[in-house]
Amino acid sequence: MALVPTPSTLPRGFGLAVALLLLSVLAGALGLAVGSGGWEPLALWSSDPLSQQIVWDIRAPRTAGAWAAGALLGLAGAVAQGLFRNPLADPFLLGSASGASLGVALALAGLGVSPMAMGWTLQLGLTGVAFVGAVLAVLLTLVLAQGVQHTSRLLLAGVVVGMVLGALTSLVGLLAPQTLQALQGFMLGSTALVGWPSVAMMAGAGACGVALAWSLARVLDGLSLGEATATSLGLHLGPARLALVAVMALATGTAVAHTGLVAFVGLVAPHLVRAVVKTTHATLLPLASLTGGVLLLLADVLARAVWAPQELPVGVLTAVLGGGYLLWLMHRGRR
Amino acid sequence: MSADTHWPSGVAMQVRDLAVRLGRGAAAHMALKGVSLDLRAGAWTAVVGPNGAGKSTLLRALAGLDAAARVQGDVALHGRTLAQWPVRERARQLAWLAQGGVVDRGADDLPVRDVVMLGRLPHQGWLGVPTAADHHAVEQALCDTGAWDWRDRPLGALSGGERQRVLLARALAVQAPVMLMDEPLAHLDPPHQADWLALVRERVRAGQTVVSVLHEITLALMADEVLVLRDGQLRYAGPSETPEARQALLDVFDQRLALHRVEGGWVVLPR
Repeated sequence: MALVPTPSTLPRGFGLAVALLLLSVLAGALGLAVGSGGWEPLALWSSDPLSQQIVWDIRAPRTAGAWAAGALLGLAGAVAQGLFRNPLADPFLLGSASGASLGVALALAGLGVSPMAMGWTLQLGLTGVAFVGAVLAVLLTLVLAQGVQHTSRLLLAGVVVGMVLGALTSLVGLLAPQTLQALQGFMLGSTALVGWPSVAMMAGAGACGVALAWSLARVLDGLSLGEATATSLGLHLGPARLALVAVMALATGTAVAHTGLVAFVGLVAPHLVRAVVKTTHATLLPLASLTGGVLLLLADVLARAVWAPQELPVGVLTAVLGGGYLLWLMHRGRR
Repeated sequence: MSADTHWPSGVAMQVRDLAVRLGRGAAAHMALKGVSLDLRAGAWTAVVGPNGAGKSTLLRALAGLDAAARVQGDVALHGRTLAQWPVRERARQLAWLAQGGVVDRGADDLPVRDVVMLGRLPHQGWLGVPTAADHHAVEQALCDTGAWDWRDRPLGALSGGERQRVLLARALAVQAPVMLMDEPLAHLDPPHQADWLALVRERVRAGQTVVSVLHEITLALMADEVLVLRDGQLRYAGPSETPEARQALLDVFDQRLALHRVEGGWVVLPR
């Protein structure tokens, strides 16, 4: 058997990365052109100040925000699936989503206002509350699981925290019925309220998250062979796991805080990547982020377009599309 | 066990009064109850015994994989207890092949070459790009196990025996002086069991120390040394060719084995 050195071709996944970037740009252009005002604001961009405002202050941040939130969820999903060695792991495990919901529910009940009526400072406050809720819920899960050493205990604690906080959120909704509608909007997930400050925060969190997760990609690769083998390879699993859980909480918390509970993007994005290219986490993590961004951006454009001038909450669309994809996966797996 | 000067020559690893507790609460039990032994360097040692005898536990303890709270006694490698070794340096000295890695689907999406490259982690920096030496070790391991042809296929696309050979290549790629293998022959057909045997003998000739847990007693009796375990205790440790070794085997399996002399070796049949 001859030892043939492989020719140094382009790295695996390069083509997919290029395609995803192109898709992002195309979908981004669509995002600027679609909305309740139709194409006109884009056509009148140079002459009409109102059109400029519509495109620059509403459509552009919303488009960029949808992409950034999707990228955060895609990253969190890829990290979760690697960390828990389970291809069906979802970034909303560990209770981050229910924590964010409870935070928002409490804030809405306390303030007695709907997010639509808020100025952006208040919205930013709401975002902060959601983020704090997500992080506290993950911390609670970690305390209940007594650390990150035992994956099954961690998942179980996440489910418990999610159920209890979800029940508390429903209770807050019952006690303060005026918040129900706003809370419902948050739970469905929506990119309608994303402004430039949100985009900046999500971009920052995304950059940090991708960099940190990428630096730990080899730990995720090692973990895929099992905890014992990873340990035998000299990997420091404890600190690495803690850092990866932190990336997950940061990415999920930031996305949920700005766009609500957008379902399935985090679960599906890494799957789509793996369906196209089998590769290590160093490649999978950035590709899953790109895919998540493209998915949520396309869903957002679609949500704005199908019922124009009305629009669907984007979370409804991702739930329907993501659910359909999973069903298809199941069906294909059975054959 | 501190100074290298007291380290007996020809010994790769030393175990003293090793006791390991597994499980918690009511399920807690001692999987090993005070085991002491010397592992001969540059030899192939087979670990045998009935189910639940503590074979895998012993191998895990040799690899230092269990939490310190569960382990009593000393395990030393080349004169230093495992705890005294820096983690990554130890990982370069001790390669460990897990039991049942074939049924674990966690790495299914990794291409074979990347799976084997994981064996080079102890040699690489935190973000290290594989060096020429890493690529060479991986290619060598892939060729040694006959897995070269699938190098670009994902692990999940392989059969059980093929997966086992890739996982073996992963352990070989570490190029550690001591190799610990837990049931390395699981899922391998007879020709590939013979290949494994040839590979181990070649590695041992080259100076490596190999320890393998085996259920294939016939093959285990071809090893240089054999450790016979039952109920967490060592019943025999020494050359495999002695009558004592064979008697210990018959005892721990409750005389439900028959040993037959065939062509200068021993063939074991269930009885």
